[in-house]
Order: sequence, then structure tokens, then C-alpha cells
Amino acid sequence: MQTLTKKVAQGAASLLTLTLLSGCPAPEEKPTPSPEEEPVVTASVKGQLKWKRQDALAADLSRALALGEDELCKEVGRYDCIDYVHKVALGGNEPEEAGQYMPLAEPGASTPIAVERVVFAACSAAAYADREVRAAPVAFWGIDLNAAALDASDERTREGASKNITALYQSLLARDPLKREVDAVLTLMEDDAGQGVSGDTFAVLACFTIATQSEFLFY
Amino acid sequence: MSHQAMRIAQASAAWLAALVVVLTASAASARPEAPRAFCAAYPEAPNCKGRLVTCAQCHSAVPAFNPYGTALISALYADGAVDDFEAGVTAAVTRIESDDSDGDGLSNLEEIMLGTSAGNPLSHYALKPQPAGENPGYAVGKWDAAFAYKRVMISYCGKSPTYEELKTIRAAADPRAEVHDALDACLASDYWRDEGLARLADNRIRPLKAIGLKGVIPLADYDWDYRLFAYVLTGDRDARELLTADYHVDADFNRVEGTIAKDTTSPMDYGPQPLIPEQRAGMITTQWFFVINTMFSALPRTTAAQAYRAYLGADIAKSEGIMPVANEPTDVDGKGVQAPDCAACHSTLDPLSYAFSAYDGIRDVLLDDRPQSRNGQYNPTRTPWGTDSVLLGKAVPNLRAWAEEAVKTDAFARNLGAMFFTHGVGEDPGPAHQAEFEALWRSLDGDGFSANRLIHRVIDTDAFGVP
Repeated sequence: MQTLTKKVAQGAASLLTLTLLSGCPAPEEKPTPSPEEEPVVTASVKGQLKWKRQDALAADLSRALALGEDELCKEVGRYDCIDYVHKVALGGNEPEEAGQYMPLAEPGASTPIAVERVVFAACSAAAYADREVRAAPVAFWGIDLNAAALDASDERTREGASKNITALYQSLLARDPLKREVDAVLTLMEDDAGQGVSGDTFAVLACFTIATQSEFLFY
Repeated sequence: MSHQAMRIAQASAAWLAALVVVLTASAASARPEAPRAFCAAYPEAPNCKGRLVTCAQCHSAVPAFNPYGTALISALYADGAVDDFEAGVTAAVTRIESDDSDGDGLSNLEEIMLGTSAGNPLSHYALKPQPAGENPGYAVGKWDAAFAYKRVMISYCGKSPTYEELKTIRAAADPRAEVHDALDACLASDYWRDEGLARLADNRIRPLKAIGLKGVIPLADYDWDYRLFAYVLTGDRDARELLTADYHVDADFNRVEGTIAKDTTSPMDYGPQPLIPEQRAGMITTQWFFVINTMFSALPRTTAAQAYRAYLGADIAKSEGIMPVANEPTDVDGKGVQAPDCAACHSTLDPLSYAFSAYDGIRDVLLDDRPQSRNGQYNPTRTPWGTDSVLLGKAVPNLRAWAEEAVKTDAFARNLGAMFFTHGVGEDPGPAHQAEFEALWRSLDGDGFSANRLIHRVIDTDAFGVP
């Protein structure tokens, strides 16, 4: 699990690098990209983004993963993570009982971990629903959720996963991914020892990687 | 003594006088008229339009001066004692405007006109260069429809646009018009009415479940406040009715005239809105507003301060909106507010508050040997002093006049503009967007004070729509 976590972090970091608005090639590389593969990305000078707070976070995860907002995440199986337990950390405020009349102006110290907890729970809930509840998979239709270990070298497996990753990008980030982004997520099919992970694990990790990008969490 | 020696002696005396003032400055020397004097010199400064500068303009932590304040004091007392402090300050600020008191590279005048602090080197602004180059996702440096559309959907509809919706916007013949159409739909949505606007109302209404309708000791029902707030700020209605409405809004979002009688199922033993329409002044005269703010106060200072803060954007607790009235405070209720430590703020707050005295906060009377609540009702004989008040330098005889005067002020318009600007853009208006921001709130009058039209203007700003 630790190596998988490391891999997710590496994958997320590389995705972040790709999506951050920077266009400088490494000194030893001089790419001649096609616009689709290596777009020139001029950075914004404003550096001012808004934080996607708890209500929009819940709405977006719910729609992308085809889950009810009350199905995304529950602490100890009972208490809603987004609207109750982690509401303040996720950008909301509770005025009537807590007397909190203003939300946090900026993400707090516990916001990142609360976001990751919620996203991981939501992705896991979607994988579970696809595998155990729904008549047919809705969020992870391109991944064999019952596979004990995915074969990353198998073309059909990769093709299905690639299409699913593209669909996740479209549902979560409302855009098509770059090929490099898809390739980066595909690396999550294998752990650090080069062994294939289960289909269920890959689905959750792919979902988590995409939904914890800055692009999803800020606007 | 030679001429030069005399000049040196005079300069030294001025510095010594200034030093004495600085070293012995205390709350006893508080000069609450200084913000007004400053803005008399700089009416076009951003912090003087629809508001006044605060004590922080010259003070780091009252009574200590920041570098700008120190320079101002030296200039003020350069020629010795000053008879008219306000006039002296208005003149002295111009004498030091070419200086850079905090050494941050911007002159005092530049900082004043930018809205940054001339006494704090960390308060600084530098114009950012325009980006040059392409970006496949957005038109950086220019208003971008897809970027604005995403912000519109999340800010006003509570959810991101879908892949298909963004494609449609990008392919539209007139993407900006499409974004505005989307905004119209969002502003008519349940999300905006029940969640978006409600969260903007929280700090103005200040609910408390324990004494709300569903609380253990129900005293008033703040749901009426939330509905009135949302009603006035939707549907192209006139936002000035936040302070002038004499009606209420029921659970079906319908306007209801007159008082609201007791509901037979209500746990309260009185009607939810007993105040007669003739004495109503919108949000600042709901039963909840009086219950939570006035409570048992004879002179409702908290009530007045909350009205000033919530609807005119001046938080006296932060030394905002300090406009002392001559010969005030008179300490009508014997609370000791004439003490110098207190009078600096109470010279503004007390005359602001008299108009609220004629309304009960929490009050029971015995009727038929049974306590009956008179929470939030009009009671003109409640206190021995009258209701003549002063709001932003204008005399007003009662609370209705207070409200009617308030909605005419730049402060009201600016506060409304700031609320929606900050909500939409995600930050308070700063130096980069002062011109846009001022144009926004000054447009309210021409737009009939429609919040919806204001929000349409917000999304057209560079602050909102330029990535």
C-alpha cells in the first residue's frame, strides 16, 4: 500500500506538472510537439483562483460518479463527511448551531486531507456500486473491476482503461486528456514491484488521481 | 540669533513637539475626526468612496503610529500648536503626499490612490505585465467565456459545467451571451435562493438555533429574515428594500403584507412578525433582528452597529465608519461612554443608535396573569430619550428615516457591490480592480438597484472573467 501511495503521489505530481501552466522543456529535450500532445501553455499572471467549496465539490463528485450526494462519503457509516463532519474544512460554514457566520477565507490546514478523504471515499463508493450494486458499471465501465491483477501489457486492457480515463477526465474536468496524461494514469495499473494491481484498486486510484488535481479543486 | 539658527531652532521645536505627541499619545488623545479629515483631502481615494479610512491609516495599533502617521504628526505640528485639528489634518496630509513614509517605493499619494497602506511597507502593489502567448485552454489576459462560464456555474448554480456544456459554450456564435443566459438560469435556481444568498445572509442575520423557532427557547423565527433577504435580492427587485421593506415573505416565497399573526402550531406564544408596517424598515426591523441584537438593551448600540456593519459596510469595532457627532456621546443610559477611551467610537455609535430605542428587543408583559411576549414590537415610550439620530453626518428623526437615508448613501451601494464582487471574484476589490469595482456599485442606481443586474455586470469584469 505504501508503494502504491507513493505511485499515486508520483502520478498526481506528474499530472499536476502537466496541467500547471508552464511550457519550459527540459534543457536536454527540444520537443517538436503537435499542439494536441505538447501544447504551448502561457501562464496566467493573475494567480487568482477560487476554491471549490463543499457544495460544488459534492455536486461535481456526485454527477461524475453517478452517486447521490449522500452516498459519497460517511464517517463511521453514519455521518455525512461533506455536509457535516468536514464541512468547515471543505469550505462551508454552519451558522445556526455552531454560530459560524463566515466560512474560511482560504483552505485551512486540514483541507487537503479532508478533500483526499472525501474523494477517496467517493471513488471507492463508485467502484463498489459498479461492482456490486449496479446492473452495469457506470463510472468504471472500461476496467475489469473483478480482476485480481490487471495485465498492463495487454492491449485490450489498456485500451479499455484509456477510454475510461478519458471519460473520467471528461466527467470530472470537462475536457479531453492529453495522451501523456492518460499514459501517466495508466502507470497506476502496476505497483512499484511491477505487479498488476486489482481492477478495483486501479479504478479507485485513477479516479482519486484525477479528482484531486488542482484543476478539479479550484476554478 | 541668526536667521539660520532661528530656523534650526524652530524645526527642532516642531520635531520635539511631534516627538512629545508621539511618545505621550494615548487613548486620551484619540482623535476620531481624523478619518473624516483625511477623506476631505482625498475624496477620490478608493478608501474614501462610500466609506472612510480607518484608524489604521495612521496607527499601527492605536495609539502607536505607523510611519505614515508619524510623518503626518510631524507635518501637522510643524508650526506649533493647531487650533482646528480637522482642518490641520486635511492640510498636513497634502504636505507629505510626495514622501514615501514606509519606504516601499511608492509615494504616500500613490498608495492613497491605490488603496494600499502608506504606513506599511508590506502593503504594496505593482502592476502585473500582460501575458503574451497562447494557451490551449483559455485566452489568458482576456475575458474568456469558458473560464467565466465555469465560474458562473460553480458560484451561482453550485456545480461545474459538464463536458458537453463547455463544448457548447466554446462553439457558440456569441459565447458571452450564452454565459449570461446561463447566469440568468442560475440566479433563478433554488440553489442560489436557498444556499448562495443564504450564506451571504448568515453574517447579517446571525441565526442561533437555540432561540430560533426550532430551539429550546423559541424567541423569534429567523427564517423570515432569510426569505426576505433572498426575495429582495432576486427577481430584479430593488435591493434598497433590504432596509425599506414593510412586508414579509412566506415559506412559498410570496410577499405578505402587514403583520404575521400567531400560528396555532407555533411553539411561540405570539405572532412571528408583530411589528406594524408603518414602523418597518426591512431587515433591521424583523423580530429576530431585535431579539438577537437589542435583547434587553435600553440604548440598542449592538443593533445599530450591526445595521451599520451589515448594510453600510462599516464595522465600528474595526474603527470603520467613524464620524463623530459634536457633543456626543451624552451617555443617556449612564454606561460611562463619555470616558475618552470610549468616546472615540461612541461619539459615532450612540447618535447612530437612538433611532433603534423605540423597538423592544426581548420583553414580556403580563396579560390576564400570563406572560405575553412583545419581542420586536414598536414601543415609542420605551426610553426617556428620543429617537433623533445621526447617520453619516445626516440628522434623522426615527428609524424609518434612518433606513431611507441609508439607502441613498454611497456606503449602501458600495457595500452591496462589495458583497457580490467578493462573492463572485473570490477576493475583496484590490488596487488592480478599483476602477471596475467602483463602476459596478455606481451602476446600481441606473439598474434600479437590481442585484441580478449587478451580478451580470460582475461576471463581465476582468476580475471575474480574465484568467
